[in-house]
Amino acid sequence: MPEKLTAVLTKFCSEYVDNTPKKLKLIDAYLLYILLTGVIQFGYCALVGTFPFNSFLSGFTSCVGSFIITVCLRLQVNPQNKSDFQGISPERAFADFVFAHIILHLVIMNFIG
Amino acid sequence: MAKGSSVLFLFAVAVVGQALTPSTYLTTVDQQRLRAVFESAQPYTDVASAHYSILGLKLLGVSIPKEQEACKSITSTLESDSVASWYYASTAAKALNSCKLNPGNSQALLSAAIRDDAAVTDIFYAFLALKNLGLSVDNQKVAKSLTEALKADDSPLSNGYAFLVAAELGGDVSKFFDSIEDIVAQADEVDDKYLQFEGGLFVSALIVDGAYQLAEKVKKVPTISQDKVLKFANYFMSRKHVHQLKSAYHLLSVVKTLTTNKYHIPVAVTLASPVSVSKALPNVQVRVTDLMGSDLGKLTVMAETAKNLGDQGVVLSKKPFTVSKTDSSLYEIDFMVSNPACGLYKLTLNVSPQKADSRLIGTTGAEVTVKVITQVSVENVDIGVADKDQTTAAKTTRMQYPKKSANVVEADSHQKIVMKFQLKDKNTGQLITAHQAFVKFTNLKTKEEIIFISEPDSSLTNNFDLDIGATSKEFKYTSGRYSMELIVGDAVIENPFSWIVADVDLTFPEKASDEPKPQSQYAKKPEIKHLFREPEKRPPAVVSTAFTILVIVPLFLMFALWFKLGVNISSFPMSLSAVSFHVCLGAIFGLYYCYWQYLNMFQTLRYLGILAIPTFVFGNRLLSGIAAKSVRPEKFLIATTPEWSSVWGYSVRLEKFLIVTIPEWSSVWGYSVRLEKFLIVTIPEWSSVWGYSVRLEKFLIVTIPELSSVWGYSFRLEKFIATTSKWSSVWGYSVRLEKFLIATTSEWSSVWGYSVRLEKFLIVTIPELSSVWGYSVRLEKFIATTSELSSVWGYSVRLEKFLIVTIPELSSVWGYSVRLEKFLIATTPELSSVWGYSVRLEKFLIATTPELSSVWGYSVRLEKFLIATTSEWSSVWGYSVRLEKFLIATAPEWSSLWGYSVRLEKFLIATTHEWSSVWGYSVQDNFCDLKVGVHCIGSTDMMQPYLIGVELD
Repeated sequence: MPEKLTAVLTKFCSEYVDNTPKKLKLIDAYLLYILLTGVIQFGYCALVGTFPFNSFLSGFTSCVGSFIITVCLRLQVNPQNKSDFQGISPERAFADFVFAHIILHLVIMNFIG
Repeated sequence: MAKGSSVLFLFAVAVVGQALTPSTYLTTVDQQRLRAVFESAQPYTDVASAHYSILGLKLLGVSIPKEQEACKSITSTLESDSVASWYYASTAAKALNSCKLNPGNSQALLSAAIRDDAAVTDIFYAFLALKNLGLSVDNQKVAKSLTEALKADDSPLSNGYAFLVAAELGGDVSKFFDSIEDIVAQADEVDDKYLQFEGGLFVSALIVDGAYQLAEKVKKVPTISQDKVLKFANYFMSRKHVHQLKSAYHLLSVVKTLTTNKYHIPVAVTLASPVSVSKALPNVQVRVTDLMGSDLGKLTVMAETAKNLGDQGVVLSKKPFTVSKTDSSLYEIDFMVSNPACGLYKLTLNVSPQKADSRLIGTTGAEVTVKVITQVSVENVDIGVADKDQTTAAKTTRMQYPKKSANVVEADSHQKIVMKFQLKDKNTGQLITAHQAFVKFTNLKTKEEIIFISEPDSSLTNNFDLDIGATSKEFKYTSGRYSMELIVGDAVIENPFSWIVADVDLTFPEKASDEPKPQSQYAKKPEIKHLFREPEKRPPAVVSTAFTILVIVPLFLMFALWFKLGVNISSFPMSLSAVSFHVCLGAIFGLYYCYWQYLNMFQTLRYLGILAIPTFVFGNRLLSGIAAKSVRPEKFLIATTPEWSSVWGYSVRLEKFLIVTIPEWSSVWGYSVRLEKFLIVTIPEWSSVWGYSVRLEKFLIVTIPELSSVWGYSFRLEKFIATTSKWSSVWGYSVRLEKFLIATTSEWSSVWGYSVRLEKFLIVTIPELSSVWGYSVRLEKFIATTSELSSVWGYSVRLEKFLIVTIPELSSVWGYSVRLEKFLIATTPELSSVWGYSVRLEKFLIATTPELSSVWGYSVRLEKFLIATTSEWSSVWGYSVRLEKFLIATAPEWSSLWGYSVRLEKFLIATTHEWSSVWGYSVQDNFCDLKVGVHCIGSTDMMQPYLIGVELD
């Protein structure tokens, strides 16, 4: 069973490494970075305390919001989803991504206190 | 009878309810003061003050000092055109003994002043001035004018003047006299005791004076009740301290009138002895006079009652006063005869003249207040110390006034000092109370005094208890020796005393520590400190720092992953828009940092709005640029001659066309607009060439109904422009007229087609080949045979002859081309995917200039293509793959040339279901195809073929 699992995982990894475009891999790295940052912030909140509560909230919100926006970008630039996003070029998706980031972080800066 | 009248008297007193008899008069001191007021007006600066001063002094019965100077000042200050001035001057002059005033022309002035529309005062001044100066007066006119003037102004003051005029006026003045009652009724009453007119002393005095003078004239009692006269008298007496010259004169005048008139003379009853009456001074003296202090003759003064103001007890009743031996206006009585208790007494007395005089008013109910004072003794003084919580009687010591206790009384905070004493009236032997009874403790060291009040109980015994513990605060917890002093005083006690009863040693408890220090209310108050909220507990700095680092770590992880994936920014476009976009984006996030640290929301939004515009513009340009690049142009390689070892060409073509057809097939008009932009990059000289081509085409195809033979006509006008760096601009025009006939048999099996094409074209270039006319004649015969649609073999034989006439060198070139073509199209039954194969073998001969007299060319083309379509017609995607290899064998010099061409084509045709109008879009990625190779064959120069061979069609 474990052999099977490792085999599946190995297959999965190799499939990912081989078949995913480089662009998407870059985005995935970015997503991992956001995810880890959010987890560390949450860990701090759980272990130490929520004291500057609005700072914690804005930091965590920034991670969650950025993650969502980036996932949207990833969906739109993935060639496999091209049929779902007819007329949305990767460049258009990237422009949306930048715009959403600007708005999101204006709100977060307002909230950070 | 006498009894009845006394009853009536009592009744009257009861009705009046209050003694109205004036209790004061103009004493000698008052008269001296008024005299000083009048004399101080000298030397006179105006006639009015001279008038008041001289007349006032005369009323006082004293001689006017410096009469001659006064007379002179009157004449010098007289204003001869002023009626009032004439009045004042004439009256004053008349009052002086020898002062003659020259009337001058005053008769006319004064007479003229007496007229119907004049003011009452002016009539008064003018009339009296005329009288005083001894000039003639028209009394009738005065009376008439006065009546008229009073209609215009009927104020009390005007009527007062009118009374004075009427008093001097002859004839019937009863109507003025009759108005006295009405005028007096307008006076205001104050405190049920005073009557006055609005305007004060001057107005009140003038009216009352005028009323009595008028009464004197008409010899009738003025209709003023006695009460009102008394109230007026009280008012005038209350104003006897007046210092104003005019008011002083009028006060004196009216007081004089109220003492000398024939009808009402108020009696003033004044207490002449001290208020206090005691055993030593038992007599009460009263002075009974008129308002000027004059004796009223022999009177009987009777003390009606003497009432104690405290308990209303009557101590005296119906006792006659006796006339003083020294002064006939003084009457006295021994008040202590009945041995009254000490206290305040109101003595009511009646005055009656021994010789009846009806003029005297205010003779009953006159009141004087006296007080009986007495010696007091303090008795039964006991002093002692008792335990606070013990009810047993304390051990006390009897004290004797005024001796001080020999023993020092000692008390501590658990004890109390008890003192008991009684006050006794020495006259009556009765116990009394004193208004003021205090016990004062004086610290012998600090001299601080603490005073307590001692109050009597119901048995008139003072019981003074001092609870030391409870009063510690008053003593400020200062233990030590105090002197204890009893202080007794009262208005009716003749001998108030202050007696040091004993010295006491007081012991107070220690002052409680939390007792706040007594502070002055002006002392600085303690500072008010704001309490901030307790700050939240912070974690240790190490933990915070560790997490801060931990948060940053994923960032490096991300960079590491990117690096591993092979990120490169080498293709970062160094264009203005790219750099600006990134700078703007960075500026926005920098702005956010400033927002966090320094700015407010409104400033931030303003700056953000400013930054957003360039960011959007540059971002849009950058991304659309990238998007345009990502539509990959066709890249193709033509490998040709050894010299031009490799030529890369790129071509992008976007075509939009419209075909409008009418329902019947018989005649079809078509329009085609094509806009083409293309780029040719070559190596090495023409590094990049942009070409533009605009083609407008109109064509008409007319067919006959039967398919067996079809004649078609086609007319095409083409205009195109090509620009290169060397050939700066080339305009080409092409006119093509084509007529063709396709005759077919009814079966599809074999179709012979003939095509005749005559083409004329003109190419105008700059600068060398200024104009080139070309003619092309092509005759083509072809046959197409089909059996089933599944596989079609086609053969095409094309014989072409063409002539190119150019200017000037190649004057005429005839070319011949023979092409034999065999092709096979194999299709599957369904149209969905069609594979086609084409094999073309071509041999051709080009005969040209004398040098290259004849050139044979061979071309072999093998083509395989696939067309895949969807079943619906609405949108058709087509794919075409073409692999071509060709060999051109030519003249001996160019022995053999192999060319390769690979073309991958994807195209989309979208159509609507109706045929009537079809919009078609075609995206084609190829441009340079095989024709390049074919057309270039005749050229000797290796550079030329590719240049010429680029055909825009």
